[in-house]
Amino acid sequence: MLLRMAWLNIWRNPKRTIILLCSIIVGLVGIIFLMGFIRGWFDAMINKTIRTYEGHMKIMGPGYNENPIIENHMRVTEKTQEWLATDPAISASAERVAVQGLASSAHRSMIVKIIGIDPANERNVSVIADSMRSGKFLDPDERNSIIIGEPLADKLKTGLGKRVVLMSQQLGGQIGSEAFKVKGVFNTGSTAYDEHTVYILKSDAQRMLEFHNRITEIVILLDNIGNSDATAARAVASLDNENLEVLTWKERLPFVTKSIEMSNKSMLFVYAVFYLAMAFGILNALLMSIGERIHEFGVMMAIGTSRSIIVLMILLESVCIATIAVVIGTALGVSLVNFFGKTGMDLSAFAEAMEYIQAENVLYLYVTPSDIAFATIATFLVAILFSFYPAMKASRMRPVDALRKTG
Amino acid sequence: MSLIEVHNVIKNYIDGKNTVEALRGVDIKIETGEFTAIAGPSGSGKTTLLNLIGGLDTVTSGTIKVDDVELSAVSIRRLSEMRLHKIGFVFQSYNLMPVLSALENVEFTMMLQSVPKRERTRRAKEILDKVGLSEHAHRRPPALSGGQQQRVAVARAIVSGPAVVLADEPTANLDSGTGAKLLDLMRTLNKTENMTFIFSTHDPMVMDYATRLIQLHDGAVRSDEMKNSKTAG
Ligand SMILES: Nc1ncnc2c1ncn2[C@@H]1O[C@H](COP(=O)(O)OP(=O)(O)OP(=O)(O)O)[C@@H](O)[C@H]1O
Ligand SMILES: [Mg+2]
Repeated sequence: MLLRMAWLNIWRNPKRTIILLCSIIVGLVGIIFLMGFIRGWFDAMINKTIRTYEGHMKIMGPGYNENPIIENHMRVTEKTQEWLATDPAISASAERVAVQGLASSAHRSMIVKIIGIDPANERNVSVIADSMRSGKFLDPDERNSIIIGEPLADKLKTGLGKRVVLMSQQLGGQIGSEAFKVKGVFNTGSTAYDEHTVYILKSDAQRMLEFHNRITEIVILLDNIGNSDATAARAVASLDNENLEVLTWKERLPFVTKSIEMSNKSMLFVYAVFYLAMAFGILNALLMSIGERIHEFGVMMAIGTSRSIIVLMILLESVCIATIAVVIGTALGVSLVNFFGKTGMDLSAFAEAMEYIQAENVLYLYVTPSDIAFATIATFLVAILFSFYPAMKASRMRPVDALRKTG
Repeated sequence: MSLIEVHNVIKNYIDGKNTVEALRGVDIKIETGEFTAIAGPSGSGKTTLLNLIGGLDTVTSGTIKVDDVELSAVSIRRLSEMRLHKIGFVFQSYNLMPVLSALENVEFTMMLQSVPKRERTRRAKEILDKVGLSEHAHRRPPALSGGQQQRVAVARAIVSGPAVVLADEPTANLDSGTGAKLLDLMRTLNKTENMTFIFSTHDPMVMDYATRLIQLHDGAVRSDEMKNSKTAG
């Protein structure tokens, strides 16, 4: 009966209730959208890095992660190959030889990262083959070809068909140097990366560095980013006496994980502002509606309604409102997020900003059940918490004073 | 021991700088089954007295006992329970919860008393029948006439069998015909159920129904007499 009364009471002033509902719903949709946006953004950011270079996991020689010099190389054993071929979560892997070196054109020299790859395997783990601006991706049959980042090409004042000389320290300590012909120019969208990266064939790199069949890393792409930790654990278990390091993207990109954590924290503050706005809406509406019903509360008290029942009834009123708002707000918010999750949210218009934050131009928004639980529970908490003051105020009136208010 | 004992009650209101002496030493004893009218001009203290007896307000000095419980000695919670179980109220107007039907308004008190749903619906229907409103049981107060609303209020006041029903000018907003009918109803309940009523009024026609008439003047009892009631039909 109290619930029924609460329900009926909120509809005594439908306009006010609807306005309040709208404001809570708008707030909730905003919060859920923001949650989805942030998740989509981080995923785009992580994905970009993963798909450009990092992969979900890497296997490296001991010490290479800390100190990427060729002395910290690795060898691919049969055991490693077998594991790579059989682990169910792995969708692709590729071997690389990555070293620091100097790239020189007729015009000038720049310090670059030289990455030796197997073109066919590299295609499966990174988007570099799909990022060609001009020319072609590497071909395993064309020795001494090179592809270079667009901004690097500009700086070196070089281009397709021209010669670039690479120089780097060999395994023995000598300097290895060979000339390469620019076969293609790529642009991944990340200037920082493209400015300092060149790709050559793995076999060319191994020869130039007197590396024989050694490599520096194996990059692994999984079927699902969520499997990273579990797969890494399996890798460690299967390759235990191979003297290798297994690193997930989280370990490789600690600044990304850190910045996600930090912005999640600062988002809490943004959400708090949303909730505070809601809270004052609720407070205001409730104080108004209680103010209009003082005489009625007087009658209720006179006929023996206890303070706690009055508090309970008022809390139920705001719980009713919160329930409607949560149902509608969550439905709308989740639909909005899902819409942008399917079609993607194209932020090409802000491409420059997106490059700055190292993310792809199209974000795919999504929210997790825990996001929705957070948004929902917080709404109820706010509704209940901010009804307490008006409810207590109403229940603490003296019946005579309440009754004197007529109408 | 009387049902209600008002002993030497003084009630002052502090109104800014002024102190209004609303009651200046009132002594009244009321027995079960009485049908008492409290009469007096506006400002004589009728509402004040009824509110004090009903535990809605506190005395400045003196004591009030209802059913041998001294009101100023009990907690707010206990007072609320007393009102729920021992005292019925009927006010001049706006007595009812506007969102509830007549039937639900009557049920409300029983809900507070945790009477099971079935039982309280049965009793509420029975009482509404007694006050002649069974056809309108499902109407909400705004769809009822003033007289009908007051009948619902009386029904609610008596439904859980209180020791006394306090009615502050229950007929003031009704035309005289409707007012007379309400008084008839109260008097009938008084006689058939031995229900004690105390009601205030300044309408001589209403006073005619009382078996006891207490006249207040300037916060003091001017006269207190037993009389013959204009008996309900
Ligand atoms: N809350 C209050 N504050 C100050 N003075 C009050 C208050 N309530 C009542 N009074 C004063 O106390 C006196 C008695 O008031 P009360 O309401 O009891 O009279 P009443 O007999 O019920 O009058 P009426 O017939 O107009 O209802 C009046 O002088 C009134 O102005
Ligand atoms: Mg009065």
